[in-house]
Amino acid sequence: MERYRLLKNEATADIAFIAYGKTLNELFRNIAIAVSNVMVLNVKRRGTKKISFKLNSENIDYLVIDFINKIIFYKDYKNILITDAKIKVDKNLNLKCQAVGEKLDKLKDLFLVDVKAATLHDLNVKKEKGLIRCKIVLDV
Amino acid sequence: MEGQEIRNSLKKVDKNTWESEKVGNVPIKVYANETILKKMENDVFNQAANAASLPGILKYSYLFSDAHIGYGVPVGWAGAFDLKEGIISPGAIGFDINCGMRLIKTNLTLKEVKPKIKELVDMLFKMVPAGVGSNSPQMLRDLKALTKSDLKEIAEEGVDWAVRKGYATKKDEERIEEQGRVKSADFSKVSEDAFKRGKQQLGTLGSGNHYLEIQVVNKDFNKEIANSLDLDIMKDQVVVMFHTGSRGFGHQIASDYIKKFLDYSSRNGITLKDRQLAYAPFNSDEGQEYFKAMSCGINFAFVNRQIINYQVREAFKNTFKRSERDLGLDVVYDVSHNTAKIEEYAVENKKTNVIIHRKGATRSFGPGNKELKGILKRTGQPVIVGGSMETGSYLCIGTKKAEEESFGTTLHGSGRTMSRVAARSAINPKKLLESMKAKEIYVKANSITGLTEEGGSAYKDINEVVDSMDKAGISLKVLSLRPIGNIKG
Repeated sequence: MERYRLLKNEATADIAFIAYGKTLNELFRNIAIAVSNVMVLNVKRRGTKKISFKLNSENIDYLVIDFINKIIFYKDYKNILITDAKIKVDKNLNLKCQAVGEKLDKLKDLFLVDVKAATLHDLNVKKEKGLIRCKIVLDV
Repeated sequence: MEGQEIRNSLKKVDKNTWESEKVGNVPIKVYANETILKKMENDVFNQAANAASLPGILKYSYLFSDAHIGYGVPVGWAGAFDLKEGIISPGAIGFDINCGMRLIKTNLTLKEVKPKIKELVDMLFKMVPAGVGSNSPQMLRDLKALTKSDLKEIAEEGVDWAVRKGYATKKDEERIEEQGRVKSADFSKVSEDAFKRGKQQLGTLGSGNHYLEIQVVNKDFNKEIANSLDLDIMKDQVVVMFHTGSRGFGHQIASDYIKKFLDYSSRNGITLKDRQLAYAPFNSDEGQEYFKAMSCGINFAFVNRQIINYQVREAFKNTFKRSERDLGLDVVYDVSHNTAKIEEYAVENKKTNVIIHRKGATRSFGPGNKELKGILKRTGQPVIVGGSMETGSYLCIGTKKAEEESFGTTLHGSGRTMSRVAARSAINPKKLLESMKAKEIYVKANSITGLTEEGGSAYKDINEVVDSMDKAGISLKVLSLRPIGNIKG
């Protein structure tokens, strides 16, 4: 199973991708990996910094938006790019994230593009052939 | 009506102006020639139709020649709303509040700059931080460890703060839209997260299509206006152009209020055609709170560009070992292209205040407009149109016709034709660098892959989109500018 796929023919000015997971936990992990790879070329998933946070949203779409916006927040506020994460999502859409990441100044030569927001444009999370897939467009 | 049907229903007003039937509350008006119009995606018309259905929209849902698909509404779109019946929507303004362009003139010629272009661009790259999560220039004492009360002053005072701190002059302020400050800003409406994201990012360029360029005057279309703006006063005059906005601060404000407006919609039984176009009535508490927070984003972006302006002046002084006065580093103009502001227009022959939303669209005021100061009152307002790093940019001038027809609004850039992901595989980085070298453009960027996303072939033909607006009489060409040095994040 591929973790995510960048979409060539969508989001003229920005970046769109589809992330996959057998479970919601895996889906959110792969979203985090996709977002870091959009920003930094071939970024290593093992990071030296640790970050933990919790989220709760009223539906799955908003949880995706809130999750990505949290990754963006740590990038701008703490200058840490989250590169991998252990995720637990329960049936009430409470999300617990234990992430690892790297200080941005260590990644400077590999920067691609800054992700600044997650959008609701064409956002959808659905089950397909035994997998959960999430399409998302990032504002860059 | 679907996008294709709307496109088919467009009636030709003249070679560069088209009108649809009423779609929702108003028709769509498109400024583009036939070639550009054919290339616009169907979804551009769907999104413009969604905007045309918003409450209180006046006259038209406008599309300009650079329009392409956006979130909620297209980029290259404008719509004016009645203050009582109308709405305010972050999706119709853009995440990057007050993303905009600034043009600075110099007294230098290509002959003087060319031998030092590498040194100058490298110096600028060091002094104007660019790229993912870049932080404020460390050499500027006032920007180190900004507190909440510092950021409140910046967000509420705009460029007045920069004048107070010595980063701007009163003369600079005259050449900035709104003189660098919208008075509707209220920092108490901005979230803690926005403060935390913004406090380290003043004076930074960002990435994506944000850039700083050294350019040369290429061709003049209106020498009289150019000369009035101290441009084209000598052969091969060098100018500096840059494109950036309100960084994480503005993005967080937009994200915060989209969420609040979605909640407002569900509480008030509003069915949205597109969630990204969530809105609140302008006069509601929620609408007013966003307007005040968004105004903070506008002021933050003005100060961001002013700090970069300060660093540009320092970099030129260091490189050429000449005084600022001798170098003649004056602001030509600073324009916004992602805002909502209250402006006065004639609606049904009556002077009316409207809340004009511009998303990827530039204000275009003609000569005599009361908002313009000094020489601009005679020339009209400069409109800066940024192109790709390979193909160059334009300086245009606003018109009375724009004030009468399009709520004083015109295009903002060349507009993309290819997605970033597609550009990464379609544009060969090595060939791109060779082509830029052949064109004698020196580029300094954090990443070559990132650079390919901005290659000239990923954009529409800027000459054509600018020409369309010129022929429609909405903004008139003054100068074309070609790049010789470029910084990208």
